[in-house]
Amino acid sequence: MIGKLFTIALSAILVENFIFSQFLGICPFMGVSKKPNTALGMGFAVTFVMTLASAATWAVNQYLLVPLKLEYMQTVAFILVIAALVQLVEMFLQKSVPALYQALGIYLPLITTNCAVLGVALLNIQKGYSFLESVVYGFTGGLGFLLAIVLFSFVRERIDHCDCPKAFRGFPIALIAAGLVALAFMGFSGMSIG
Amino acid sequence: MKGNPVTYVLRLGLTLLVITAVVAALLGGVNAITEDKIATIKQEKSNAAMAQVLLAEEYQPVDVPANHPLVIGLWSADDTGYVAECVVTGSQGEIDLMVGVDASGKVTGVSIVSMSETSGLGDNAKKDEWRAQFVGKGEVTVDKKGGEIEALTGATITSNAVCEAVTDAVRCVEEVLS
Amino acid sequence: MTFRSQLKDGLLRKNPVLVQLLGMCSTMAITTTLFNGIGMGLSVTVILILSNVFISALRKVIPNKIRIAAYIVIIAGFVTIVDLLLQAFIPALSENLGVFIPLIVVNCIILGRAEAFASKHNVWQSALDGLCQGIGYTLALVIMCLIRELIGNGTIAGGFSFINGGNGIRIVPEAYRILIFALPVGGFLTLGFVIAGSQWLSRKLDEKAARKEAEQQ
Repeated sequence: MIGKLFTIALSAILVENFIFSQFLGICPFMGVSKKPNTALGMGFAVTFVMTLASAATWAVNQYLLVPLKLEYMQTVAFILVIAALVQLVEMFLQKSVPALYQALGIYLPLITTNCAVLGVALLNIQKGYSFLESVVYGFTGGLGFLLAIVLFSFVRERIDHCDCPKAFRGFPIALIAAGLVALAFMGFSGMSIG
Repeated sequence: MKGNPVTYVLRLGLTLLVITAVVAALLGGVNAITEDKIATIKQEKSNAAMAQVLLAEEYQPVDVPANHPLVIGLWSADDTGYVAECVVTGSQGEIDLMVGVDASGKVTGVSIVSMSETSGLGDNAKKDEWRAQFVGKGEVTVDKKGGEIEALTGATITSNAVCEAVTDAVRCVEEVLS
Repeated sequence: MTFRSQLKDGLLRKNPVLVQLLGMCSTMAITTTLFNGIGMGLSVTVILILSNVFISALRKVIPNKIRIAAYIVIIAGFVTIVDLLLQAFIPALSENLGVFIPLIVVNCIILGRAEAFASKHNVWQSALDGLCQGIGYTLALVIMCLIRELIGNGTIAGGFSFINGGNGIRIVPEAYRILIFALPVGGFLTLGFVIAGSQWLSRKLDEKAARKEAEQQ
């Protein structure tokens, strides 16, 4: 049991990193990785929502959609659950933990349309994970995102000062740099786990 | 925001409810049309996969013995042997495959029902040449672990996963046979 | 606003992927064979047109406060319909694209066009906008596929079952393919180069237009 959870965790963070090997959550990854501070905030916010969303969507699927034979409504139900969840988290933080809200607040609305969140919810079901496994996969998948975005924000700070051909300035060179970071992450894929 | 706030909130809720209801009804309709078709495609696919690994007139479902975590279904194929359906985690998610095993515990064939491995790498496990390696063998491991199966280029995880599934299927059938 | 200018916007000036930098997840994830690219491009185009039309038609009915939630429900509905139809009628495509079909829901292009265009224009214009943006997205995917498939696998037009049994037309011998381009890394690198290329091209076009103007004066 612990072994399987450990395998899920390790592969979600390193081997099957959401950004570098599954291409989930690229938009916020490229959008808010310009500075380490904001990257850290976004990373934490995503981890938080991914964990909650994994738990909530698993329960909705198991106790609502499956008994009612409405599995085909999965996508609609999950995106609604995620949107509602993000809204709730936002209201809760605003009232109860204003300091955290100040730090994460601006990233929260963006998370509804982060494909890593809907992606993890759908993958949990596809992989047939149990409740605990889903939560662990959501949490560690989020940690993988956090690791990726923070690492990349350091790279990106330096790119801004580089002298590259005009056409590559800005976004293209950042993508190529991301490709090189992804190349480094590929080293983990040879790791046989289990 | 004009008028009574209560009616305003009610209107918001109602609009959203109506939209959701219409979408749900539409989906229900499309699902009713496609449901059988999707089920048939799945059934045909698994039938074709079974026939590919061990041809038989009739496949009779058999109970899967305990302690074979990868085997999710087992069928006896006439008197020639068994077909086991296995699900194993590859590098990009689950791999669903059929393994045919004859009465002497040797593999008669392996076929992939569904997988989402990387195109151009793990995805090559679908190729006949690679899967042909398993025929006539029993428990298997990849060459990198000193075994007899040549791993796919750049897809050791996938190759390993398929070997594990085949091994579990062989053990499972041996248990049923004895 | 003419169809011509809308099409030009969709294909080049405001290309959803190359200029607006939206929908990058799918652009990098599924562009390994031409079949996947065209299939994904067309699916998104259909969903984009449908959601644009409906959202535009309902733009005066949906209260401002809940518009995003309403848009998401409408989009998710159409995505699921397309998903089910693909599963039933083009199972090979549905299998290849996997989780990226339901993930079209959170493809920023669709919600982006709903918010930026369909909520402000009439049904006809919104349908055209959906079509043009969809074609632009498909174009970007096709370029990505051609490059990645050729370098990464040495073939073109792979995945179509009627061309060489789905293996595509081999251009480069298998031993000389550069596998890394078919992998995630190749997605980032190729998109970087393609966007750089489009920036270079649009700058050239701008310069040419400016020169022409200067000559006329």
